Amino acid sequence: MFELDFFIDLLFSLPKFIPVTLKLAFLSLMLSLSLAIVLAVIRHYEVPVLNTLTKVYISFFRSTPFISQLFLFYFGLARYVTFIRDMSSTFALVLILGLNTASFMCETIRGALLSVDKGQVEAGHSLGMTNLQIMWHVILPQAVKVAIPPLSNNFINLTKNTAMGFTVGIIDLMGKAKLEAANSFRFTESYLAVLIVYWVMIAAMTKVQSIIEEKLKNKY
Amino acid sequence: MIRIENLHKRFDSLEVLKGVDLDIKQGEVIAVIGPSGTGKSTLLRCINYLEKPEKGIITIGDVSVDASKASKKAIHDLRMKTSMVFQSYNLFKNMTVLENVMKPMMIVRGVDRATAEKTAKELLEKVGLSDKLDQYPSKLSGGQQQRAGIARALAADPELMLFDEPTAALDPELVGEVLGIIRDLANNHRTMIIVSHEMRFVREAATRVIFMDEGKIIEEGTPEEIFDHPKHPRTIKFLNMFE
Repeated sequence: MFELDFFIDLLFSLPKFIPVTLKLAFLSLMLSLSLAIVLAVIRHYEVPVLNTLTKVYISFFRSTPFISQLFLFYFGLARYVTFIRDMSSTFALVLILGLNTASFMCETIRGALLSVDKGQVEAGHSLGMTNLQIMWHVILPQAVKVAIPPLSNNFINLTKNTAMGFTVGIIDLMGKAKLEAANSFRFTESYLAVLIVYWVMIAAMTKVQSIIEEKLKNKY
Repeated sequence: MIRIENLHKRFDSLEVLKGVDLDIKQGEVIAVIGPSGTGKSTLLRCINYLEKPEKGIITIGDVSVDASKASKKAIHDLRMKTSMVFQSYNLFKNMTVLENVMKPMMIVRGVDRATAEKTAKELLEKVGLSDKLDQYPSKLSGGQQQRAGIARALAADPELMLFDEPTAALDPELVGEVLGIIRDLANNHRTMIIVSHEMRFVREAATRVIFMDEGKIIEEGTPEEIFDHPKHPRTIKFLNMFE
């Protein structure tokens, strides 16, 4: 039967692993966001060669499951490449999750860049601003405002994807729940507890997201 | 001294400018009139390379750009000599009125913040926007936005100002405030080219009127010559529509 004491104990001990999950999410976010901005700018200006490579990159990472990408890298390529073999599982997860999420964020950011009307770009040119100056001072500040709601959704997906870390041996929220379940055979209690912890955590993140959106809305 | 020689521009199969020649002396106020779609705006946009002409040489002061071999640097130098006022204002939406005028000075010419702010405030006072300095464009009327656009263009201290139908998007009651400012600039002998359909304004403010049709300059002269004694049949036909 459902062991309530076990469930409640776990519900209160699991949050200790929230920092592990958040650290994975935050590092992946930094990587994916910086990469996505660069890729979006390449797509926006249709930089020769790089634009084509970016398209292939995006197509690959969007059209294949994250877990397959992670396994190919961590278990497959590691057999041939020493530095992957020596890599910590945390590093590998952050790297592949970052690369994966960047492909989604790139399209989000590209859409936001397109939302800034061409007239402002022309005004910038007519005043002697370079493409880079226009991008930095005019387009990006406006694009950020447009991009934040969809980027927050990308970030939430990313945070949930960190749960895949257990497959490469990371003890995060999901990893801990899996261990507890395997040791006790109390699968229902363990996985229900971990789901509730994820739910509360992501709900809190969503709240923060709406506060940020509200703040930005009033500016211009 | 501003000289445009044999300027050609086509959009795919549509030839918009078919060899435009124009000499402008300092202090001249040139008004370009003509039917829609005859290349008036394209002419202005080619002068600062918002559109790249196929052929032709544009000279402003010591900068000369030949379309057949225009380098990035030459285009940049040319743009530094001109500034444009757009039909749709095109203010930077993420900047306040004050920032719209002062930021380009700081970014493009490296003017320090204090100087840029002082100049911007003076220019905005000139266009009557001293009480709107900290407003974002979305909070302004079309007339106010266009006046801010003019202040921004003035801040670039251009040798030639280009006005691309500056009042065409405005409600009729707001046209006057914008034309008033352009007239002041004209009276102060600022060199400019204005594309406009406001014939009364053109007659009052311009020192020379150019009538364009089908990608060419058909006739030019003083406002009196063009409006009172037009010679070319197409000019006569066009002006009759405004009677």
